[in-house]
Amino acid sequence: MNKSEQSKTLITKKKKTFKDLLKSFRVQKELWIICLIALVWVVVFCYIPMLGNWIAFFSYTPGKTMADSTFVGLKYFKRFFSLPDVWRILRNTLAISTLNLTIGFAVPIAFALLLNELRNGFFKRFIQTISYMPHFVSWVVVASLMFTLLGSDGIINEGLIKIGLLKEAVPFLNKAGLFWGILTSANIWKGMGWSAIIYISAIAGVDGELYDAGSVDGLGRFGKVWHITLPGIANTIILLFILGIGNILSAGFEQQLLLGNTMTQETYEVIDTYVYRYGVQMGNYSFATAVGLMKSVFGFGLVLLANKLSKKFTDMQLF
Amino acid sequence: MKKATSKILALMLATVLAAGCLAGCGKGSGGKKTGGELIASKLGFEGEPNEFGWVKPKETLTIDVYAGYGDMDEVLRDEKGGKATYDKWLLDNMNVKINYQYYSVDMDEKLNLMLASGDYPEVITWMSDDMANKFIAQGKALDLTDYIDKFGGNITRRMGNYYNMLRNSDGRVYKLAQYWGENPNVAGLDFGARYDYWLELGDSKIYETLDEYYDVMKRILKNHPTNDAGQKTYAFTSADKAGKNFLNAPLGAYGFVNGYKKNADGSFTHWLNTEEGLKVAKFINKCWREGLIDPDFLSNGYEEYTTMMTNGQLLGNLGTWWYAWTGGHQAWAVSEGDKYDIKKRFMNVSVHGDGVPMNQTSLLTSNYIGTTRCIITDKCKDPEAVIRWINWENSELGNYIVGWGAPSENNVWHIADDGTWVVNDEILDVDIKETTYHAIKEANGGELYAIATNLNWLKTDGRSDFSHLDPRIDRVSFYDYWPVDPKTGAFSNEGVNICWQYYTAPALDTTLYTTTFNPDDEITITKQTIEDKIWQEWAKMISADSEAACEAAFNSAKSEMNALGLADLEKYYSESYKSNLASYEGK
Repeated sequence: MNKSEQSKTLITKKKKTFKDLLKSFRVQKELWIICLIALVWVVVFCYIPMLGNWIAFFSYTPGKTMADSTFVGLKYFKRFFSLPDVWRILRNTLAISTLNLTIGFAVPIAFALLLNELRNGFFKRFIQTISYMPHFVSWVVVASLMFTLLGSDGIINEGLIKIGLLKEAVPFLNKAGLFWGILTSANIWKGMGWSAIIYISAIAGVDGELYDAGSVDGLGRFGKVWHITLPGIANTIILLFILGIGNILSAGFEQQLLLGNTMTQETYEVIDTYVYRYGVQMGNYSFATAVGLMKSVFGFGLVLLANKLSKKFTDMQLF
Repeated sequence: MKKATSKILALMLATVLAAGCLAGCGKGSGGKKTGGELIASKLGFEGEPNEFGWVKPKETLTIDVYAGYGDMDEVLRDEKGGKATYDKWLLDNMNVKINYQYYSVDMDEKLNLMLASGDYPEVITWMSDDMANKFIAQGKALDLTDYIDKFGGNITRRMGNYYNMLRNSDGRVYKLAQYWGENPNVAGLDFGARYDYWLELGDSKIYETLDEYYDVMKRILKNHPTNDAGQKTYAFTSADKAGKNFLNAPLGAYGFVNGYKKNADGSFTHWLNTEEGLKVAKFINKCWREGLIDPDFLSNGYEEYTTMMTNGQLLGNLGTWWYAWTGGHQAWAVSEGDKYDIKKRFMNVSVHGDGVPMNQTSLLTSNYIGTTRCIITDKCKDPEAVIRWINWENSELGNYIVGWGAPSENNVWHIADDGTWVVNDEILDVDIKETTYHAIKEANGGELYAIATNLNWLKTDGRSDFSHLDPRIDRVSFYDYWPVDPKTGAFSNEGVNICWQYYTAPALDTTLYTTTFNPDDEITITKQTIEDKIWQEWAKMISADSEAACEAAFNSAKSEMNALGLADLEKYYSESYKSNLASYEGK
């Protein structure tokens, strides 16, 4: 059995039965005790808050009980779909998410592969460390950097004017047509190094003997990447891709609010920014919850679908 | 076994659903009517008022107040000792202890949590009108009407008819205004320009109309196309990422309030449905096309705005008057020290629209009941005592003590033997105004515990008695005091006079224009949707390539907004005004 097949087997595990579960409690009780705090945390902070979803179906005001609130059924779901801008908001959300899920997803993989090819250990670690840094920079600072770079008096305008590509400054951040590109670029810059960590770890786990065997078989550097490294980390890539699909309706929030303005609103407005303004800021919690619930259900459905498709086409699945 | 697992899962899901349905079904008094019979105070308010006008109770009156966003640790650190000084004075002289509580989270979020959990104090202040209404609607706020009738003489006397605007449809009062009163600010929406550069033009009179302002700014820009660092200059920019100041200021010059024109028959018309609106759009678009507006105006915040002012990239100020102070002379006076020339500053100027006299502009506004409220909640054991205290706060002397800390030789004011409230000379020195103001707050407890009080503006409204006030204080508020030369009527300080001598628009009372929106009402969604769209369309009007394109954008926006329900909003604002007027008149 080769490495790839072993990996597939790890993912496509046999389904556990309830009896197996009980047995695992008995046999691995020490491990379960260690996990107990984490499990309690998950229940308290991830599952119990889900009970609050009832307010999506009621006209809720903080302080009122369910008995005091009027049941309105799907009113807030319908309201979302009857908003005049709903399709534009959905378009923006899906477009930005798709860009993040394609370009934004591929770049960290490419970066990890390139980093893996560096032979100088010190330089490799240096680059790797530097690449993490933007992850820790707040979006407020990133927005400020973007204004400095892309403003009318910014470095990019100055440079383009100096080399004659522009006659006069272009306010890039006021151009609705450029917003998706600018946002995706900022997302990539900020998240590339951090996201690459998991791929770098996965690459480190690829058996070195495979590379030796590849050399013997006459593979060059690109050949090794294509035939050994990429298949070696395919499970990780698929796993993260499936999880990423679950967040397709979460296209960002603070970056849009910080980088966007009224000229770019037609391309920056996404579900989260809209719900923030119409739900949270206006105190309409039922509406905000309804949209949040809808996003979660849709995201969960997509994860299930992606998992199924992955199983069908690659014989690998999350669960 | 698979079947058994499914059963367990189904049972768990059913339990979660049932628990969800029961969640929040705890105790709660939603809709419970409060108030009714007066609860007599047991603290022992007996005898005559003391020299501060307060009947000192036998037992200490303790009031717990939630006062919104703030750094409680910083308050408790009390580095300058103002809290300790004021607390001691309150206890010694008034037998009162106030526990003012802040949380460093958004006030609305905290109040919603308080409502949901039922964990809130006996008094909440600085809350929005909407949040006060939420507490009232759920029976969490006490009916104060009878308490105020009996113990709130200062409140009703000084508020006059405006007190009626706090009544609900049944005529009952559940909320009080916090920081209310007539606001006689000197400047409002501004059409400012660099004073030194304006002098260079040699104009014999100050500009008074939008077109004259445009002409002046264009000439100044021509004379100063770059700043000292060689950066391109502009007449204006914006700090709100939407260019709202470019709309609000010119609309103010035409007398619009909240973006609406009040017609003679009492109806309201949105600016998009008026000729004046189109004129404003064309005016700003002309400024854009002629290079007066910073192309990055949609990206700037307050910091960028004032930085551009300080580094000389902005030659004018359109909108908020005090940006021109903080970004202009206040910054230069510090950075240039002795070399600072007093003429290097922005002057705040009021202009009027075509055919609109200056006294009918709405550049300078004053909302008598303000926008923040105070309620006494159903957790309060002694509402009489709290109303007595709030009533004392609203006495003229109470106002002074709350605003400026306890009177003493160590403070900047004291009460003379003849009863006059005398201020120290340093209060009259505008050059150290910031220093004295902060010293009063930090070292004397000024403004530390305002619960539901007047703003302490000095301009008399005929209902307040300021006869004890130091006669040297003759204009604007004690908090924001600028002395005037009695002979000429000009501000005593040359710099202040330069800034404000050309601001001649009078203050318009906009209290009756107050309009509130219920979050769950369709009209609120309509309002928000239209506002969102308008600012997008406004940006297009500003940056249109030609006047024709600007007019096309205006007409397109007009059609779109009317289709979204602008007529409903016009009607809502109009009815709200009429309702406010009826309340004000006690109908």
